[in-house]
Amino acid sequence: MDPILQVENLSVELDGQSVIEGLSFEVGRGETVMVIGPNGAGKTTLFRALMGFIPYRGRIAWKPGTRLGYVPQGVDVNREFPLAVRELFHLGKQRVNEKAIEEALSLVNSAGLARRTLSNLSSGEFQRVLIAFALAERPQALLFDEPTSDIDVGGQETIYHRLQQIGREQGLTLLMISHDLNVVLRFATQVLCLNKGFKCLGKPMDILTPELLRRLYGDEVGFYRHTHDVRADSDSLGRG
Amino acid sequence: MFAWVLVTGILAAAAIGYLGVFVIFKRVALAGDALSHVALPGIALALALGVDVLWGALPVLLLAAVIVYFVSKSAHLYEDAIIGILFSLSLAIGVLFINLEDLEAALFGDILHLGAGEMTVTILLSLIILLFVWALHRPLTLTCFSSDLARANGVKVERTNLFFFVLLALAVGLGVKVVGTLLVGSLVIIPSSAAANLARSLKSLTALSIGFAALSTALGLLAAHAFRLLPGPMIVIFEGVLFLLTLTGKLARQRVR
Repeated sequence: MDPILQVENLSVELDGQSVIEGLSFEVGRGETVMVIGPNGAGKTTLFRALMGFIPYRGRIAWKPGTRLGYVPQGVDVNREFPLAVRELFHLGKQRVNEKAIEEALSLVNSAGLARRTLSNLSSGEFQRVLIAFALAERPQALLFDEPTSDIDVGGQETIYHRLQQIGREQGLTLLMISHDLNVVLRFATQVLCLNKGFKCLGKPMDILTPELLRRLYGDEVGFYRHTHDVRADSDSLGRG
Repeated sequence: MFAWVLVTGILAAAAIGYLGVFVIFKRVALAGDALSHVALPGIALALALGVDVLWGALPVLLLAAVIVYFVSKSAHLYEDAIIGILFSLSLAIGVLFINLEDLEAALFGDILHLGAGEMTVTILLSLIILLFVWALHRPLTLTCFSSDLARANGVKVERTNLFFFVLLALAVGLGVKVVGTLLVGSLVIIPSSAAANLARSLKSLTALSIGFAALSTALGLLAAHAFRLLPGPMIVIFEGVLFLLTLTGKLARQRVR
């Protein structure tokens, strides 16, 4: 494996409380790593540490020169700001022309949105614009913090599919926080699960077992594995 | 002479109107208001020392800007409450130490009686603020939009916020001259809110906010001059009218949709 990211013994505290403790993992170039775990498990905190936004202990080593793209979760974003979509692109690190903006937007099937205003977009459109904005900087790794809800599932599947294609074409490494275990099962090459003391890392089929999920989420979560094996379905937990 | 008053008022209002765009989208409208009241003890000090009120107001405002910045940085403090406390305390101290004669000018502005030196300083500072905000509009906008997205794009968010509050303090100091401490908050908030009712891009938001601030100041000053009224309240009334008009426009547009 050609690692693009190495994390060793990472610990992060927020307001004096330990959120992540002793986390170690490696990400290979071109991989799609999905981070799962219940709310408050430190998924977003992990991403913010990986981006270098917050202080941490331990070691986070991106391969030198790696350009990072970041798609924040909706909560941090001021959606009322009457910013035109194309204006957002002009605020980026690199100078972009109208053609580059159209290209970035068409990567996520949103070519028509350039002249719209961000505050008038639907949640799905808004998220696609944020992804296109991150992709316009031509990152080698994209960190994508998926919003918990309010986006239609069909649209979401398309986005992951597109990202996976872009990943293959451009050798883009994807790190995503996902709340949809079916998406994780379909698209992840590796799954990192986080919940306070409990951590696991592995291939989706190895991680997404009823027993591990119960340990990760407690008894509340329900998950149907999309497989043709009837027994596997009956093994999984009912929607709680 | 009145022409120079107009130029001074319009430029100061334009500078404040430009910053107002970021004030409302940073959701620090209250901080802008608090800052304006903090000017009062500074004005009291300047009057006691017999110097231009701007030299009393500015140091106190800058100090307050730094305080507001640190308060807004800390998640633990009750930001609104602390800013509210700062605001009422300053008002109390200011009112106590300024004699009644000067109080009206301090509270409602006295732009019609500015000397040539004061006008020159106000004009220069307004231009400097406009220039700085324009130069910083990229980090300021990104920070307003999303602080993490700003960081991801290499913006020093903390530093940008500090710059922003310092510029706001300077702008408020100028506004105190034009409409007075009680009303300068409206100069920060109303034009940008009116602009936000209509704007569909940052460019139009900025242009409209600056335009509305300048227009209402010009109209207010002309009306005050013609009818021998206090300019501060007249300016704010024109701003209010513009806000109501734009709000009506916005609601009408929403109904059409």
